[in-house]
Amino acid sequence: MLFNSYEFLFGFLPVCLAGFYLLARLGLLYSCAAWLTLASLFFYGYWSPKYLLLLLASIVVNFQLGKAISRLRHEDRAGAAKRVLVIAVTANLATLGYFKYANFFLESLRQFAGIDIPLAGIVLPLGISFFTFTQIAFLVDTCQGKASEPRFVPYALFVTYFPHLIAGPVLHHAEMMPQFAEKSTYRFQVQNFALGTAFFLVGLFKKVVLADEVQPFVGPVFEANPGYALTMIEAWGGALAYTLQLYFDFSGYSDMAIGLSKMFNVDLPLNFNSPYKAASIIDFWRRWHMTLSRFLRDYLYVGLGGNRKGPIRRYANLLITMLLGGLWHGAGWTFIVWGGVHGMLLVINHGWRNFRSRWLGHDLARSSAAGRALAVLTTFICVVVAWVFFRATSFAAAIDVLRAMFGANGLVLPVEWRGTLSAYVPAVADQWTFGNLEAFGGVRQCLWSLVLLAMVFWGPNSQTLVGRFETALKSRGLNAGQWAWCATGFACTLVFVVAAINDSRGVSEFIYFNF
Amino acid sequence: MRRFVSATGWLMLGALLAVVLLEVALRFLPVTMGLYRTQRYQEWPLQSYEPGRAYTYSKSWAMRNAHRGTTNNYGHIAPFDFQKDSAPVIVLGDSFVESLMNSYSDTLQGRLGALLGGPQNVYGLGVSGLSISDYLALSRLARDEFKPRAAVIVISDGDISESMYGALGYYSFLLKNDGVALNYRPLFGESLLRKIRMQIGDLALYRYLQVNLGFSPQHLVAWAKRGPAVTKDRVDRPDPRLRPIVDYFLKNLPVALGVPPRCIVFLLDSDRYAIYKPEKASKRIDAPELRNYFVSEANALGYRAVDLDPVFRQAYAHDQTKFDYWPFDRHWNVVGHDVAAATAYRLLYGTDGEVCRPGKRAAIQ
Repeated sequence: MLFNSYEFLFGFLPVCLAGFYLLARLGLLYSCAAWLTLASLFFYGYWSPKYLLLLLASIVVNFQLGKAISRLRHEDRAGAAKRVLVIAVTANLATLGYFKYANFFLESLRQFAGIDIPLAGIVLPLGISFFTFTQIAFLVDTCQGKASEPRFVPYALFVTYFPHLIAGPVLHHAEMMPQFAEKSTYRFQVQNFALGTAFFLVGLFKKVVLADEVQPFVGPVFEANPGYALTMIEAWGGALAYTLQLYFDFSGYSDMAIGLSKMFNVDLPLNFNSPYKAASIIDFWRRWHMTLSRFLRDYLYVGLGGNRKGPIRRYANLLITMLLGGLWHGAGWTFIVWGGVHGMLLVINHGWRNFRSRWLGHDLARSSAAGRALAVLTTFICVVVAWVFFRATSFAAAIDVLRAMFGANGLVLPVEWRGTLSAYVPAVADQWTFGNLEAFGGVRQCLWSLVLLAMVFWGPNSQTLVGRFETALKSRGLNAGQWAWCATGFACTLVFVVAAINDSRGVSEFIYFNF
Repeated sequence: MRRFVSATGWLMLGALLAVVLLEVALRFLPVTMGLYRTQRYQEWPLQSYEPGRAYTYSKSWAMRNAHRGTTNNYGHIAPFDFQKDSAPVIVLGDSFVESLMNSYSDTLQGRLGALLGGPQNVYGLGVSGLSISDYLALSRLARDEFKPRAAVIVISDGDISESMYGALGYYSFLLKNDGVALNYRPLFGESLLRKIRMQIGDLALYRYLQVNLGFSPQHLVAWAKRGPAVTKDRVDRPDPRLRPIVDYFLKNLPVALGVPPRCIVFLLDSDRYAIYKPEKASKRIDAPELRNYFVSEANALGYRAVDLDPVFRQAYAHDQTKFDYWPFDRHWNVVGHDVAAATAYRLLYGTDGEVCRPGKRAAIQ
């Protein structure tokens, strides 16, 4: 079920909220959690009941393994607990590997070894990467004594909680379970509801109006006919459009998830913090998909030794972490290369910072406005170039787009612009080559890209926007409750209109559902 | 209870504020408004919309291809009034000819008018949703009103098959034992909603939801009644009942129009998306066999009928310019209309066409 669909907005969500608060009003707090778990399972099963069994099996097995690890720890059998952890993590990764990577490995074998193996008819279960990683983190935390959950329903709710189930944020047990245990969570709080609706509205707007509107400019570039030679304008236009689409799509989804959860009085961690304003790749990864970055740092990079074993190992660990981070996103060489590119950029970034502070004596905390602008621009261009691998359907297709971006097929202007250029700057028009750019959306694409770029570079992010709303909510002379109800009515009406816009264009899935 | 009433009141107030804000914002934007189907039911579709009313047209949520204008004395989209007995060339068709998304001078009738020395020589009688049954009925009305000298009829996909649907407010063909008959399901009466709309004007938000977004309350619950999607039949093989209908239409059209077949041009639109990208080809409502039958029968009877597909293909191969608002809207743009107008002009006046020249020049309004 999609957050932006009518069935979710006008069917699932109202029923789920009503059931939750009705049970809470009756004082049946454990039943509330059970209700939310069942609703989340329905939410998941609505897509494909077949994979509901897989999700349930994963939850039951991991819950039992978690209990076993916890018991062994309490019995001071740390070695045995670690062995169970290794088995548990292996089992999780094997399941993920089978569903997500089996065909990739078979395909790679066919390609490189020339062995004619038939591909397995496996469909990727929705959200498998997210619920697998969430549970691996829980098991590791349990083994380290940071988490323990002896009750099945709260554990199942932690894993299946529908706002985060399919595309994150990737949750820590420690940040969720205390909230589910808190009594105030089960009391309807109109201020939270208003904030949740506002967050949801911002996310829905990002997805429906911004991401989906720029999306038509992406396909013609990345799915161009093999014989078609992309020009520089088309390639940059497509790469930029995808950069913007991905951000507004995924951050929109995360905002919607945070907003939905807030309606149930549960705070989800933020996932984005204006990533394209980052002044370095290091900074970018502190702002982009923050919960995944946190997971990769805590459970992979630190596990590999982090920066504790000298600079060479540190850089190697960074590279390995990013390569695996790329592979996590998708079973394909393009994702691995994307991860590798980011790993290399991180290594260069760390090396450069080290060089500046150690050899040039620069104070890294200080920079001029021009220096910062240059850093933001350089980072952004690196990110745009790397996204080409992330979006391309094959490595060869990515290379084609990159070659075009760097001028291999020349700089050709759209033929539609010839008249205007001839009228106003005839000298330029005479010098330039014009052609029919099939994969370029013309003035419309330019305008959309400029507006969205302005938003990502200079606009407030969702948390700032909602933060202002929260401040307003608290500072009005009106009764805070009345003001919150009023704001909820306002936001719900706008949600309805944006949902109608979404419906007028047909189904539009979120990009991160593929991962 | 008091808290509940208070909460509901504040909730509704918030919703009302949002509605007012949206209404004010949309008032400044080109939301589709102002087009009301005529109430002179027996004269429809010769009388199309309410005459002399300002309208705005746009498509989709983003209000693309926005155009404003005023309907003429017959409620059609033209910058001049039509004159009785003016012996013009008439252009019949559906939304392709109505062409709300283009400036008048960029339309088939506008281009053809320019080729014939003045826009008032050609009347565009396009109404969205028409099919060949409506064209036959419209031809009779146009003959009695304008006494046309020639006609250009645009046949877009579905125009033949849909002539059997018998929708309320439209003409349709009925197959009887003794042949084919033209039937009309009249639309009478005035709904309360229409009365309100006509009196106080449209609410921009309502029209935006209804027309630009295509929203209806049924959509909200459609997911709950999941069943096989109701779509128009798209077939490879034509319904065998359609051939007699084509025969009936072609046999009766010259009399209905009062124009000899020599002065009637049929332009059969094609799947232009298939020309740009073969994988974007769509399955047709009117099967290719039926279209071919239509063209061959029409030409055999002395009409000038042409399938525009090869014409579009040739033009596209030459300069790669698209004929529509790809990929958002299949309706012709200025290039598509230009190709159609040039083709119609060539077929009407290329050889031996003086008899089809528009007669009396109408006065410019």
